[in-house]
Amino acid sequence: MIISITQLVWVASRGASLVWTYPWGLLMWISYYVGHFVATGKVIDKSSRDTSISMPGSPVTLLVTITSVGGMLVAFPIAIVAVHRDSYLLLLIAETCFMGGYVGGHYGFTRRLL
Amino acid sequence: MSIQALGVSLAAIHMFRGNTSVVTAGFVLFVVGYYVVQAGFFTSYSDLPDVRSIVSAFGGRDAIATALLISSILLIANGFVVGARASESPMIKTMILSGTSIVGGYILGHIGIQKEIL
Repeated sequence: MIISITQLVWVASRGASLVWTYPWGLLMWISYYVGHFVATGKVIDKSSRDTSISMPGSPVTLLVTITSVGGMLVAFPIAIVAVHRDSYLLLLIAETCFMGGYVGGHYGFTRRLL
Repeated sequence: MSIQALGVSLAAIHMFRGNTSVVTAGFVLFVVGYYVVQAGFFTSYSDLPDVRSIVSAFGGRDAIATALLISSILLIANGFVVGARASESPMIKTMILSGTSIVGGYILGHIGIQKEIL
C-alpha cells in the first residue's frame, strides 16, 4: 500500500493521465482490503451503530496513539517537500510515516491494526 | 473498489491541477465506492444487483453523521489541493494546514460513519 500510494502521488505530480494513475489507485485499495482481511478476518467493516468511541486504555497507549496520529499529520509536509524536491525516496518515507501512523493510531484506538 | 480507485486517482491527478471540484468529486466517488463494497459484503447475494440494497447502505444515517461526512470530504479535498499547491513553494504554515485538514477531515468523517476516531 505504501508503494502504491507513493507511485500514485509520484505519477500524478508529473501530470500523468488517468490511464497511468488508475492502476496505482486500484492497487492501493486492493492492498488495503487484503491487509484489512489479514489483520481482522474481514475485508471491510460494517458501518457501526454502536455510538461509544473507543479510546486508548492506558496513558502509555494514549501517548503512542497521539504520536501515531502526529505521524500521519507530519507525513503531509514531508510528502509536499518530497514532491517539491522531486525525491522519490522522501515521498516513500512520507507514505511510510503516514501508514505507520495510521496503523499505530488505529491500533491504539481500536486494538486492531486496520 | 474500482469506483474507489477511480475516485482517488481523479483526486490525485486534479489536486496538482488545482481543480478542487474534481478532487471533491473524487472523494465523493471514493465514499460511494466504499458503501458499494460494504453493501456487497453485508447484503445477501439475492440483493446484490438490487439498487435498493446500495441505497439502504446509505439509509439510517442521521443528520449529524451526514454533516460530518460532508465536512470530511470538503476538508480532505481542500487539504490535498492546498498541499499540492504548496509543493510548488513549501511554507510551514501551509504544509501543516494541509496535513491537519486532511487528517482532521478523515477523523471527522470516520466518527460520522464508524463512530470511531480511526
